Amino acid sequence: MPTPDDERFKQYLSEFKPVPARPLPIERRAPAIWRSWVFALPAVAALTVLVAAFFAVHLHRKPAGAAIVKSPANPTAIEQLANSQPLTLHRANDLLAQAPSFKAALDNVAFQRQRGDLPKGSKSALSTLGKEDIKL
Amino acid sequence: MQPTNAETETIETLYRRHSPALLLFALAMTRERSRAQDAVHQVFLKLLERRGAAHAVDVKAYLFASVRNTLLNDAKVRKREVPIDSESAWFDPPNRDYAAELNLRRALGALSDDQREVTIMHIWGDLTFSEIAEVLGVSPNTAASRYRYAVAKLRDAMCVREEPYANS
Repeated sequence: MPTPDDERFKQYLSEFKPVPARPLPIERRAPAIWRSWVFALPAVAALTVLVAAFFAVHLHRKPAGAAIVKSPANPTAIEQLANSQPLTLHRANDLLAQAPSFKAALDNVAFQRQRGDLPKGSKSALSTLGKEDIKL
Repeated sequence: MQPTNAETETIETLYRRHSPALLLFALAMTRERSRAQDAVHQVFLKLLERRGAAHAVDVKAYLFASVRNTLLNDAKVRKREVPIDSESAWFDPPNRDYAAELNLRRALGALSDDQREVTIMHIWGDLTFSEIAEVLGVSPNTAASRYRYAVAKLRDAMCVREEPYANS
């Protein structure tokens, strides 16, 4: 049976605090955010390369002038394409590519309107020759 | 498999809470600070390997038993009788009374191993006699009896040198 004196002595002894131990040598894991970045960065890079490769292949397959016409099936757009610039091989290819049929493409080229009016005082050589009565 | 950060923090909390008393217990058994410190570290590093002490019913008693088993398994400790190092303090004494600290250390060193273990576990480890009995594999009455004898010896040894607690 402990006496009051025992309790006082125990209390006195408890005032002596054991010296602290050295810190525990623990190697902590890297934080979760850091670990996720380590794996996420290569994944994002790989995804970017895949997307870039897809678009590169996709765009390479399209005709060169495809970007000019927004709606290939739209006849008005094709007509604009035919009338907007001088006819060149490049534009002829565009017209053939965009027109619904080969015949439609030729029609657009053959019956395109004259671009702009002639300056004042000058006449079209074609209309002048057309009015002359040339006898062969 | 490595422990998670949460498990590591739990074990670190256990270490902060119990390591001073465990180190004192190991010091009292070995009387060598480096060996005592190594034993305490070894126990907690094993806990990390096992990812905690969830399997232990009484964590505090489990830790004392682990430190004790670690030291008893060390053949060098069993075969050597090392004198108390007067330079290496075991306690932070009240009022920086280092003479009292040395007296207490010597008084503890004069106890038998059984009495010293019980005294340190009860006073500085806050273990009950039932918990001490579990650690030592004896009955709670035996543990209490050893404690009473030890306290009587300590009081005699401390009172011969000084009587600080007589006026408290």
